[in-house]
This record gives sequence, structure tokens and C-alpha cells, in this order.
Amino acid sequence: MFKRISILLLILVAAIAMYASDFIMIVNKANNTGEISSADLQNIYSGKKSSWPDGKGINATFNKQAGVSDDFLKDGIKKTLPQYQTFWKKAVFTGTGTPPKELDSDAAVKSYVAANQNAIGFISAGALDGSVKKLNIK
Amino acid sequence: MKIKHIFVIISIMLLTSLNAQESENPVKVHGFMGQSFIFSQENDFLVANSEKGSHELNEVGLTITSQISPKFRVGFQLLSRDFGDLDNNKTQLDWAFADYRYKDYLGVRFGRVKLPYGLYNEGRDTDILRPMVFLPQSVYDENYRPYLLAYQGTGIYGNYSHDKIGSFDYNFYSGGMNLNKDEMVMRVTNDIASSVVYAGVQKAFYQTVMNAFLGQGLSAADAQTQTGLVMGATTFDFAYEYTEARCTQLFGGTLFWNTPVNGLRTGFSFTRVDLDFYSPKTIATIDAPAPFGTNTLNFTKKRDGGIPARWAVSGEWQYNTFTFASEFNKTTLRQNFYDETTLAKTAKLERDEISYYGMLSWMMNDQITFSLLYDFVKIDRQEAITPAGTTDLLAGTDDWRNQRSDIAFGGRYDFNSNITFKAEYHLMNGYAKVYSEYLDPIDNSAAGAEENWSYAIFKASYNF
Repeated sequence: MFKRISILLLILVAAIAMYASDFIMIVNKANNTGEISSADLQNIYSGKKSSWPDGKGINATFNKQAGVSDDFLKDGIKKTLPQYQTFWKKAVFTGTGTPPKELDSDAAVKSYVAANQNAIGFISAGALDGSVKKLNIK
Repeated sequence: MKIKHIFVIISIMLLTSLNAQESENPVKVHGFMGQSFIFSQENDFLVANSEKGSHELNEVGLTITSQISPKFRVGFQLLSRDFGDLDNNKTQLDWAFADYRYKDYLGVRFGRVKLPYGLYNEGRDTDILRPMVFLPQSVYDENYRPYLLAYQGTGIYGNYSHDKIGSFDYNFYSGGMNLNKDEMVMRVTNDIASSVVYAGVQKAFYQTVMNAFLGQGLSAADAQTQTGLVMGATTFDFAYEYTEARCTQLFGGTLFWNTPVNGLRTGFSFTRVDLDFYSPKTIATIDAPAPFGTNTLNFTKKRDGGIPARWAVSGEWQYNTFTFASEFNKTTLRQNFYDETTLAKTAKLERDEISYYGMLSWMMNDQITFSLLYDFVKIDRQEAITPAGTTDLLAGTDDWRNQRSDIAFGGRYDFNSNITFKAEYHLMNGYAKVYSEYLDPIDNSAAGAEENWSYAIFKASYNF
């Protein structure tokens, strides 16, 4: 009985781990910012925060790769995909904003962020390498 | 500044940006289109002949924007729309402006800008942005659309964010607006003014006749006997129409608080428009019957003024897959009709409207959304007094023709992020602000109107 419960618990933990938040924010290595508040992250992805502390404009990117985008929407900016899309469609069709640049994969986001000093993006936690810098969320 | 001037300036900026920018910020092209079918029972609603079913509800939009630099953006949107008797798919410039964002807390917009009001007014023409076909009509009244569509001028906006108390968004603007003479508000104004002027012309004419007879020592009865004219019974036909509306001032703003509670925001909006309506200097020339057959009576009129003003308190909460939105709105309409010669006020139309709604949407999954709506509007009519003594019979009453409630439920199906279908059913009570009421605002007898009625509406839309 104890063995069965243990196996069930292990399966449960594994399942939770599988669906646990698994994204990290990244910026260009030359970016001096090391951490960002959760509120600022939401403001960047709703177009309300457009500048880094040094005054340079933020180039936000959106990673369309399945899984990581779901994690980011749910835990990063606390929106569903339809809510996020509707928000930016409103901005587009009223002229009040330009949505984050959409990229297809972790590799594409890393490549873009590495090449753009003011860029910010999110990737799968396991995809981090030396080409970009991790941005901690406080 | 006129619309065509704004369009030319923004277009030049866009063309310039084609050369100036690198491929990083290309010119973006987006668009949308939608087609509805409305079918009402007992009363027409929003469009003529909706009782027979009407397809005269569609829109097509094309949006072109360019992020010229991280702080500077330009763009415009063309809109072609059919709304019953209105617009008839004429292509119009919906918005066109330049936007410079100096800091997060301060940006400036210049040109023709969608008017910020309440939770949803800026996006009122884009079907994809809302769960139901129409925005709640008590607050986002299609008949007041010209007053709420866009301002032509300058606006400032910005955001202040604080980690603990949330963030604040503001918009303030000042400028003017253009009114198409075919718009419903112009047609209503013309209807009222025609009635007013018509009565004024007749009264002036009879006075002329009477004075002539009295000057000859004859009585009013003699005048009636000899001319066959009967005060209030004999009528003359003449055309009357305002040909232009000039906005002398337009200003307003919004302030929204995005609370620390995720998805909860609340705010306040206000807007005011001052309008002068102009007609040709001489609007009526009447050939009098015998014995004044060669007499011509000129009745000149040039200007009437109107002031619609409104404010709203709004709240919206997005909680997981639920969205609850509610707004309370008050509209004040003050319209005065003047005799241009004497500058005396010859008539007035005063209305206060109280309206509010609650709307609950549940996104069952990424494709299916269900919505419930309760929507209510009540008109507090003041007397509309004309030279002929016509008064508003419903002034100050709670008559069902002064209010309207709407209980609706609907479904939305997003086939994908580009294609959307909607279907909904509305149970209605009351006649305020229903289509034919607008076409006959002084005679409130509302012949043929029904207190309890309903309508269904279906819509398919596409966006890219």
C-alpha cells in the first residue's frame, strides 16, 4: 500500500514539475539591468513601460514556442493567450501601441536578444546559454 | 484641422519612414471585416426594417502603422461601414495620428485620435475586441457615435506605476470634431429644427397677415374669412436642413487605476462637445395665398447650438477565465434653437440620460465564450418648447418610452485567432432610444411602438 502511494506521489510530483513555470527572462549581455519586478514585467508586455532605467527604449519579444509561452503568460504576466492577443489587437486597431515582436523559438529569441542591446525576451529555463543574460524577477 | 490635412500629413510621415527605417520596424498592415444579421420583433432597432431582418450592418477596416523609432509612431485606419441608413460603406478616415512617447509617464498624440472613454470606446469599431456583437448600447450608444468616435487635436497620455498600489493610466485631450450631415445626430437636430423653424415661419407669416388686416381696421376673423387661412391648420411646405456643424470646443479625459489585484481596473471618464449648427442664411421663402399671393416671407436662421456632455465610472475584473465589466454613465444633452435676427431662444431640447450595465463573460476554452448582459438606460426629458407651443408629452415621466432595459445572452466562437462567430439574443423592455424614436423625437406618441420586444443578432468577422 505504502509503495503504491509513493509511486502515485512521485507521478504527481513529476506531473507538477512538468507543468511548473519553466521560463526565464533574458536581456542582452550589455544591459545593466539585473532584475525586474513582476509589475514592471507586466507593464512591459502591456506597453506601459517602454524604457530601461537608462532611458533607452525597450524592444520586447514574444516567444511563440509551445509550452514556454503558456508558462510566461500564466506566471509572467498573468493573462490567458486570448486576453493577451485581444489586448494587443486593441492597441493595433486603435493605433495606441505596437505589440512585442513575435519569434518562433528559444533559439530565435536568444539570437535576437544577443543582437539587440535593448531587447528583452523569455525562453525555456534549460535553453539559457552564454549568448544572453538572465534577468531575475523579484 | 481638417481630416484630409491630417491624412496627408500622416501619409507623408509613413512614406518617409519607409526609407528612413531599417527592416527592424517595417510598416505594419492589419485589417478587419465583419458582417451581421439582425432580426427584431415588435420594434425596429438601430437599423430600419430590422423587424424584417437586415444585413445592413457591416464594417471593413484597414490599418497601416509604422514604429519609426522606439518613441515615435505614426499610422492611420480607413473604415468603411454600413449601419442601416447610415454611412452606406463610404470609406472614412477612422483615425490618423502621430504619437511621441517622451517618457512612460508622458506621451503626446496629434491628429485624429480615437476618443478614449470608458472601458471600451476606443475599440468600438473592432468586433474582435469584445465578447458580444455590440458594446452595451446604454453607454456606447450607436446613435451618439459621432460624439464619441474621435477627436481631432492634441492629447497627452501616460502611465504611472508603483509596485504596491498598482498603476495609473491617463488620457486628456482637446480639439474638435467633424460631423457628417448624414449622421443620426444631425438628422435628429434637423428634424427638431425643422419642426421649430416650421412653426416659427408659420407664426411669423400669420402675424404678418394679421398685422396687415388689423392695420386696415379689420379684425382677425375678417382676415381668416378673406384669406381662408386658419391659424394652426393651414400649412406650407418648405425644405429645411442644417448643412454644417462646427465644433467650437471638445475636451475630455480618462483616468484609470490598475489595482494591485490582478486583472482589476477602475476609472473615470468625461467628455464635452460644443457644437454650432449652421443652415443657409435664408431657409424659407413662402409664397402667400391670395390676397397676399405676391408676398414673399423670408425667415432667416443661421445658428443653433448643442452641448452633449457625459461622464462615466467604470470597473472591469478579469479573473482567470471570467471577465466582469460594469459602467455607470450620465449624458447631458443641451440644445438651444435661436432666432438669428433677435437672438432670442426659440426652443430648447434638454435631456439627461442615466445608463448602466453589467456584463459577465466566461471563456470556457480558447475558442468558446459565453456572455450575459444587463443593460439599462433612462431618459430624463425636460420640456422641448417650440414657438408653436409644442411640448414634450413625456417630460419628467417614468413612462416606458423614456427607458429601456436589455437582458441578453450570447456565445462567441473563435475558429482561430482570425475568424470569429457570434450569436446572441436580447430581451428588451421599453422604447427609449429605439430607432424610430430618434426619427420623431418631439412627437413621443411612438405610434406602433411596443413596450416588450426582442432581437437576435448574428455576426461573422475576420481580422489579420
